[in-house]
Amino acid sequence: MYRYDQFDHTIVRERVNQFRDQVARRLSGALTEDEFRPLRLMNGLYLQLHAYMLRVAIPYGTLWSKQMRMLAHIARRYDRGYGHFTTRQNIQFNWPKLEDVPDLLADLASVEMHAIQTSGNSIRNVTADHFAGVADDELEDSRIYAEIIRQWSTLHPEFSFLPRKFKIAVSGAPTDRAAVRFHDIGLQMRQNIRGEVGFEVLVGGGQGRTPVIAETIRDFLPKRDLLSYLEAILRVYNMLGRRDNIYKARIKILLKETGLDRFAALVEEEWERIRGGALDLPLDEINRIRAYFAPPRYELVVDPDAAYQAARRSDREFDRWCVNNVLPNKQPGYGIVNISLKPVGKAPGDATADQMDIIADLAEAFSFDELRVTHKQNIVLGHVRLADLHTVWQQLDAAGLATANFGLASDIIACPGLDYCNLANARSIPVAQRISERFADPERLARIGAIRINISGCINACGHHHVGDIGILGVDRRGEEYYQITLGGDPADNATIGEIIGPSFSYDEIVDAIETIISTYETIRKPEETFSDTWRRTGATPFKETLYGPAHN
Amino acid sequence: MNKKSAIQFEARIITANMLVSGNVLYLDEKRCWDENIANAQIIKNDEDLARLNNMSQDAVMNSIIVGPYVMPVECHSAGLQPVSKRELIRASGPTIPTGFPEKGKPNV
Repeated sequence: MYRYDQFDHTIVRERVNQFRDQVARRLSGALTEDEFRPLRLMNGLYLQLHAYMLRVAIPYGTLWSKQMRMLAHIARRYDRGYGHFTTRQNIQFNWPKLEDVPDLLADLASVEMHAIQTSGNSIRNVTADHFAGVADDELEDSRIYAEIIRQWSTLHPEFSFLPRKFKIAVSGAPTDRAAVRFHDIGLQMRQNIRGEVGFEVLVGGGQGRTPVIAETIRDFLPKRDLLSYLEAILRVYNMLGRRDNIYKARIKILLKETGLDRFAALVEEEWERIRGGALDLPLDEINRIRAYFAPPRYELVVDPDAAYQAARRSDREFDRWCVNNVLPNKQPGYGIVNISLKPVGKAPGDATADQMDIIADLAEAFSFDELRVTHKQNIVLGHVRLADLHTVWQQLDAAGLATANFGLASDIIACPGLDYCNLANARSIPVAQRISERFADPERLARIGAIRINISGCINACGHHHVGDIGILGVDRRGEEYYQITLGGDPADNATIGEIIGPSFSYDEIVDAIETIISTYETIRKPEETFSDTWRRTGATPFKETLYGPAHN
Repeated sequence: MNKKSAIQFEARIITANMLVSGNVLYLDEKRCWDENIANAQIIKNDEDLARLNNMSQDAVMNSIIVGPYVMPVECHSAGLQPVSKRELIRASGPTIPTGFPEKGKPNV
């Protein structure tokens, strides 16, 4: 894992002191809210429906145990004993008091964490494949490059006041697990015909009110040119992006207005001016960062562990969890453990302080002190010996963290919705809870198989509803909560924006509607088909017929 | 959410968030900022509105509250209730259990 150097420590410490002074001036009345608002947003502090909300950055989702324990401490001391892991691999605290936030940030800084650039029109937390370094299909650990981008983009003086927020994701594997096609810039590692590893650069993707799939602006970018090319893209966007209309300020809109060819030409022009200069990324520097992400000292496991196999045979619940939540690590004898933060009837992505402590303890004892937050609002222990899985599962189970639903119908992605968020039109969490209760039966979950259900409480799409197999969007209809359903979305290699299936459903109707869709899928799918496969084969007709009746088509 | 009782009349009140905590507040009959919507002062007429707006601005200037605005309510036999779902949730807290005592809430 990357560890702060003296520059990082100084930057974060000075930022805490600066914000402490800004908060004091706000509380004394020396700063008005209009003056203070942009300052607090630069430090990730929002004012939501009931309270302030602090969004803490978790760079590319990776934490060490001490950091997770600090998040637990913050939940206990400054909040109400829990936190919410988000769809951008961050964590949000829903109830901090303004006067406590400087101390909270100082505590975070003591474990190399902060909330800088988790809000505002800046380059946000860089996200990456949550299986980086442990998946057997990757070309390189994407976190190396996410960290390099983090260092370049943090407090970048030219890009602190962009037309709008800017999100970058990196995937080091041919299988996209970072949704790179739905980011302002997506970087997908590729190998060229000479065997060199570099990046396919995608630009202009995003969700929100105008969902767009990113387009490839460069098929292959050498690693050495990564930062200069990103700088060129950001510079063109910063110069030409609209600042007169918040809804047209993202780079995806600029790209639509200029066209990809024209935009790419402008980027090339700028890049030719700056490439090979101060932003050149030499191999020595890549290797310096790479060393922080070196594989842990795995044990050589010669034989399959007999006790592990016996536990799977004798303990049906453990076996189910292994089948659903454990994936093979590229190191033989080790597994990737997906800890579901989606227990039946609970808020997706929420974890109590006690649960955070337990996860931290398990990471320290069984996964080389490292854990990851996923954009699917779960936690990953990347390097657990198969021989330790039963012990890990027992401890997770005792903490209510052993729900065996990874990737299944109750593993629902949901934004905070109208229960917390100032922007929301409708509640998300209670809908997720009710759906998870409807599909609580593990046998039913297994029969349905992998499926993505995403819920957003408004068109800003923090619940990524556009890319769910089943997307649910909360809308306001004459003061009442209604839910519009989209089907067929896909965040990954076959990137697709879901299609609106028909008229929306009330809060009371929506769970039955989801049940109808899933039952239809179970009825019409062919063997081995995923939901996407079935959707692409049949189109909307069978789903519309069961949802609205034959007359609707 | 509980079923509403019959509406007696519609009215307006002033709400804001507390600067220090972000808590939801309502301007009450004693010219104080109260977490319980049941104690909110109803705006009776334009003069009342101007007077309460001035009081709100004083509270803003004195760093007590942030972002005051006028919101519609319904007056029921059981007390004041917000009209919109947003304000209903804002008044009563998240509709999902947080595991902690919830603040003063309207009878919804």
